[in-house]
Amino acid sequence: MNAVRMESIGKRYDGFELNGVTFDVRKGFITGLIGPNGSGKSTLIRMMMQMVRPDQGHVELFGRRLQGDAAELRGKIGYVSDESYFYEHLTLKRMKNILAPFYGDWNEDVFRGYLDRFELPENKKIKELSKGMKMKFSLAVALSHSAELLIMDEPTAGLDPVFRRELLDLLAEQIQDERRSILFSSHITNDLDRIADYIVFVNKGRLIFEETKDAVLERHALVKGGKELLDADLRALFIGLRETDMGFEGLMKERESAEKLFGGLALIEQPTLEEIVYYTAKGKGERVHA
Amino acid sequence: MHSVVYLVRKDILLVYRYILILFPFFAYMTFAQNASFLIYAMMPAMILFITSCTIDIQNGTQRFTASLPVSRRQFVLSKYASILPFTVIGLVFSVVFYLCAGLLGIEAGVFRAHDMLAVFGLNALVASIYLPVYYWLGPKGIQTVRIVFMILVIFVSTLIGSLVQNSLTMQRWIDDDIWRAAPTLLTAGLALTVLVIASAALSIKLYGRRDV
Repeated sequence: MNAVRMESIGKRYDGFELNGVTFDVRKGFITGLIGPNGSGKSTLIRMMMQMVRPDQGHVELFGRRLQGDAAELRGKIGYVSDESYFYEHLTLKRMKNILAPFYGDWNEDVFRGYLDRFELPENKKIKELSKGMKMKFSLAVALSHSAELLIMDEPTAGLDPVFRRELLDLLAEQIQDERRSILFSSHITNDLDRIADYIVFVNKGRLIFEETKDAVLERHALVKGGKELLDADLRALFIGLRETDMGFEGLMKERESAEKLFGGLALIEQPTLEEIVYYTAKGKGERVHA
Repeated sequence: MHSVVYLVRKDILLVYRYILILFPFFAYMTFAQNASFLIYAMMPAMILFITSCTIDIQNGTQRFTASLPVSRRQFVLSKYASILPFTVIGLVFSVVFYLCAGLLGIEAGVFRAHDMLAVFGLNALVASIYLPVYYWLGPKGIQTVRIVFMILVIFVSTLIGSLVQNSLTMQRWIDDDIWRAAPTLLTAGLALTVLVIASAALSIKLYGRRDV
């Protein structure tokens, strides 16, 4: 059973459209949702939380198709938003007192453990905390009610490198029992390089691919070579291409094709997720004079 | 049902510190000697109610309530239910200040227990108009709605004062002749009940389809 299934999701806003997006968040795994800013990641996540309703398609949570208001399913979700959504004028203690009763499985000891681990002062007002501390508090809440699914929207944005690494270790810990599932959206793809099992890539409101991270990295090829190797037909085969006066660097969808076309003539490397996102988002129009 | 209670509790905790600003309000009203019991009791309840609604919708905090395992229907109903504790808080403060005014020898008007019923009714009336507008306009219009409704509360309180002088039913109310005013009051009570139910249904519909 999947923790989440997004089926043919469509949503139209002024100047933006999600179009037929289908993917799964598999139980017991970490799924990374990647894409440039404004690609539709947060909208998809808000649909899972029933904050936004799709115009087309449907969402399934824990095998149940969402119809009406499935409030009880949100009790099984730990949600971490990209921005603090807590009441800023309250202290952490009072905020916790407000939200804890809503969760039947709230574990005060676990919560206190995270407050200590993250060095969060419970008598401090939320508005007095840094962005990183607000994120830590949000994380402490999400991890304190035995959530089966953690949905994290850009949790590492604005965090210092030390805590970013700690957070990734913490998520890797959480997934150990294989009961929990994690959906982690980020445009900082280095984070997902480290921990994700599956990658879902959306760009301009469309699904580009949904695969295991290893398969994505092995399948794509980053080709670097001299300009003389390119002609119009070859340029068309690249997902994204960056040309300079010195040469070119481009992403191809199939490693086999890249080796067939450029083997021995150009350097063929395994791209990082960041390079895949960059070239896919930029397309073939990039030309740099260097 | 538990969730609605927790949501009402949340609303009270959100405005906890604002209760402190009621002290100068009452002190001013008592010494100015220009207020009726209706204003004494209505204003604080409405200040707290509208403030809690405002806090709940600004700066992305809507996402907090939307992330809780609580349905939007329960959330809307809790807003209507929160009128009750806020009115009780207003009434308690009013009674205490009336008593204090009496001890200090300050004339603060006549206090009758059955006026409390009128305060509950008027607060429910204002909330029934306020909440559908609140859910319809959402975060963008909330500050305007807040100001308009605070003015409305003052206007309604003043209007009631005027009715007291000119309406036979209100005169009977004032004269403690409740039984003779009963048919009119019963009709008003039923109309209010219908209004509250219709208002809640409309608010649920409006908030139910809103993206947050």
